[in-house]
Amino acid sequence: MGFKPLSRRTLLRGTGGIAVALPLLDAMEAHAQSAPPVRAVFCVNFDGTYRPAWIPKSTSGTTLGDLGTILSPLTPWKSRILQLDGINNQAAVLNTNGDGHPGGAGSILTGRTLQQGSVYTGGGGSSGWADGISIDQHLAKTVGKNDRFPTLTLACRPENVTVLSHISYTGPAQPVPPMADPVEVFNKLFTNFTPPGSGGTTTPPPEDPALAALRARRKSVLDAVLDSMNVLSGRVGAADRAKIDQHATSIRELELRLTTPPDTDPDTTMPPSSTGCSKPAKPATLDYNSSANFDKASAAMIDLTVLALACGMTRSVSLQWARSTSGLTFPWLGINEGQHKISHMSDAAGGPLVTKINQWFAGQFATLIDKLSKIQEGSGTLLDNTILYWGNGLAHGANHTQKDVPFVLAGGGGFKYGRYLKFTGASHNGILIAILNKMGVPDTNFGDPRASNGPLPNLS
Amino acid sequence: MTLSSDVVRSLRCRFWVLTLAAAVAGCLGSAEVEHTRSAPPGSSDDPSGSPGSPGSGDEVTYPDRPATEGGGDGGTATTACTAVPSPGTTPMHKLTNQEYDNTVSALLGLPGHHSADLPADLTGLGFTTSAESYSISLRHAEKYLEAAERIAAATDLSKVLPCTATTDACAQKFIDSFGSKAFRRPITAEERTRLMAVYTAGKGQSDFETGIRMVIEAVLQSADFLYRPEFGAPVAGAKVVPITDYEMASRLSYFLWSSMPDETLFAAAANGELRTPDQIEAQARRMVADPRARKTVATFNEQWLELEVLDHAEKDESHFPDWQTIRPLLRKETALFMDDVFWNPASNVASMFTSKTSFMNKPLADFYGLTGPQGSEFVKVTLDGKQRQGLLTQASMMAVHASTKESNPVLRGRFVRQQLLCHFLPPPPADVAIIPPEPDPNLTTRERFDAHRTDPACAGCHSLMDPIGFGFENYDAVGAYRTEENGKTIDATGTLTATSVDGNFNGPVDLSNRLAESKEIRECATLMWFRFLVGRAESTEDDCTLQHAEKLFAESGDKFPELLVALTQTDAFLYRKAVVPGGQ
Repeated sequence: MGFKPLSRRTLLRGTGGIAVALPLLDAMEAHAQSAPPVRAVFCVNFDGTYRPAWIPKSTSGTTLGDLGTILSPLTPWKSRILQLDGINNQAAVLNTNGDGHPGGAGSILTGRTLQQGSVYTGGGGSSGWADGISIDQHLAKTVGKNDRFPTLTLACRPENVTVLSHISYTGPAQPVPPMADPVEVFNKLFTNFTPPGSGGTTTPPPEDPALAALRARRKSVLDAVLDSMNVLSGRVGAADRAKIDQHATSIRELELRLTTPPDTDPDTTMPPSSTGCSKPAKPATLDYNSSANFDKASAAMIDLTVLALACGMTRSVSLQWARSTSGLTFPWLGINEGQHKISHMSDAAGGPLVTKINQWFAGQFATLIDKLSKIQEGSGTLLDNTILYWGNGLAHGANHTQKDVPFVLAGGGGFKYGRYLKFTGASHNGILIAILNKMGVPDTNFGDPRASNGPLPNLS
Repeated sequence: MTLSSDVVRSLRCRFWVLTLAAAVAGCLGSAEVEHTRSAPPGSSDDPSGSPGSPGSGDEVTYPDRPATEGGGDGGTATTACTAVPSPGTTPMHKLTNQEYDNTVSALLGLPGHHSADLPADLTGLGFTTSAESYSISLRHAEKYLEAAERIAAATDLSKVLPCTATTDACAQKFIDSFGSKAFRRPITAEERTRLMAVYTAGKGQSDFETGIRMVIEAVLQSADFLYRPEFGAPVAGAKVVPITDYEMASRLSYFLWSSMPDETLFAAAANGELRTPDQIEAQARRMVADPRARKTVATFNEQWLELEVLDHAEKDESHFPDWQTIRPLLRKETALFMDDVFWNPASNVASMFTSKTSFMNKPLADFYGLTGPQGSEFVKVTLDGKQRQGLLTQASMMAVHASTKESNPVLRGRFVRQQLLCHFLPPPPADVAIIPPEPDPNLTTRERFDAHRTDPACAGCHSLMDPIGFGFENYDAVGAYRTEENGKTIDATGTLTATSVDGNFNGPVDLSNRLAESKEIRECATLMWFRFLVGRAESTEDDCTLQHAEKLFAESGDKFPELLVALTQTDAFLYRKAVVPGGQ
């Protein structure tokens, strides 16, 4: 009998290209588009800021003057940022399950409170997961649904501490595990990827018959898998059914992506920018759980984010820096105390350190802006068509407050930048709604209804 | 100041009892904590009348109820048990990554870390077995697909095919045997048809072998492989039903081995020999004696003691230059120690705190300032019982619950209170500045933290944590022993409150000896294993299960292996609520 294990080579050919190679259902529509779509990147860091160093040193009306120390790395991009002060993370304020740490992580992209439950039990109190979908995943289900990747969920050293480590959700109690290894992200984006030719050819080359066979094979298998999910779903109680149905939804999405014949040019939905889309070198393999490598992991994730956007692979990326209450240290800044510990120091002792840390994150944000600005797109740049969002899981670490949470928008997409706007306790759901609207999702509300009251005014 | 005994008693029901008002009032701020007990869904207190309450006057009988056994000891251990079992809710389990690896290994004869690319398990209450926490994202589905393809390709079909002819009849035979094993119960006609269709598609596309490998891929992604659905044996009119034979085989194997049933369990299920508590106890004893149980216990211990946190614990390397080298050794010491405490026939639950045995290699012994071990191998060492004795004096525990440079009495007290005494701690109030005192070259850590006692906003909760944490002040941020800090003599006296062993103590060994005698540590070990078993938080419905397990555990002389057997004798293990499709 000759049924020995298959050779590794055969196997690799089968799985290497899984990369959820994408159906391009609206290719025609895309070709008809004249303006590039608006993209968004959602950056989040944690454990609060030091507001006296975050607010601008001077303004003229609403026009930004000298930036505060924390945002000073953004000085070259002053005309491209919109600093939003006096914003509450209102869902986190309303949250009664767990304290501000899990509440802030769970709400920063969902605008929702946490469910009651016993998932999180770390720092006193307990909670379940966030009670609804996050904006990145909402974009994935709407304007991004036919993109090669409807959204990318990236993180640097998120660890795996339940609610504290997750910001992206596909629905209530449906956290999305972020990709934290730059090598995994690289493989997902660029395995079997051929950079677009300069000639703008529209005729795809004939498909590899082996890949066609693999697709047929997966369809048969996944049909049976889905059937098993549907049968079980019909037999179990409501709580178990919700879990199975979520799994079935994931199978259906996978099947759609795997079984629709891919266009070998992945870029017809969103044409790649005229410059900037190329297959990069594989990132260095590194212990991305180590604080000592955090800056390198962040740099790699920023590069991959820019390339994914430049290559038209997605229009929505979330980039999570660490997690709430982390012990992340910043040895390259000479800070060898953990971020959470620092956030609980007095302002006199901790303020300068919190300032330095957040200033470093501002530098990361500036790098992202800079790289997007260097990529030509139509008559402008990729930055002109990208909205960058930067929020924090807390306003101020020591008192776990969710009032006056620091938010910065940057880039393009139709907001009026170069300004500092001071609100008085406006809900951050309004920022999320405003972004949705700029990206072609006409929702008037998002997140917890008690925290949602239309788009934040005066942003455009 | 003492904690109301009602509060302590109610801690078992922590997720249902503590009201917001109580939490806001602070841990000790109000002697009268409101007992607005929320009934869990489906309980007999639930006016909606969903499953959980006894059958309505029909002849459903439940033999071998703990309350009806013996009963002459006059104790209160099983007073919560009634004629109708109370299994609590039974959420559907998903295979953890470890269970997935073990199951694939047993099913296909393919040992390996097959789940390596899957997202890490999400925990609830600290345990990967949590049924509340998991959620299958697109990324999971993608990784399950890739893993199934790799596994199917790596399978030696000659070892799993029950026949040699490359015929449809052979494929059918394979589907029957493999499907039944993979789903841990006889395959249904519907599943046969479904999997034959997969085989036929593969054969049509390519050949027999392709068809068989595709069946393996489909099975490994099927709901009935990745989950452990349970329906119980149907009993007309009953809202609580016994677990079926095959479901019981899986309950036993996943609880004790983190893997699928073996041939003996399958045979017992097929013969209807997994029905009485005695039959189940006999199987549990056989399984606890098997090396596979040891790995499950190790997993539990790591999660209970939050040892994984150590892997992310950063220390200021200008103060502790050897930290990166020592860190993995600390974790290994505690793992070996807990293994010894659990399995050594001379040990019991108290040994966690009183054992003078530990395990070290030379670098670790050097770190502790001990002599004996010579190479890189870990060997058994005997401690003096002065500086070191038992779990709570190990550097792993002390280093995890500390900051990068200093000890932290709050974190250490929190760990003892929450993980070892199973007491509930509410979150700190919002918008109140929580600013631990900063290092001061003229003060000890203890002196700095004393402010918590005087600030009423902090004192309520911190009086539950700090006076325990102060007892560990002999250990610095990496757990090294010290008698002085900043030129001052360490004061490691402390106070235990709201326990059965309240009172003052002096130093970590005294505290450990005290905890070893407490009833809380016994109840907490039982409760933690219960949570690990059922994958959810406890509720009032679980009182019978927990009291019965505690009673059997105590009768065994607090032997850990007996606790595992005891849990198989409970309502939560023997029964479940009847399933109403789509219902609560």
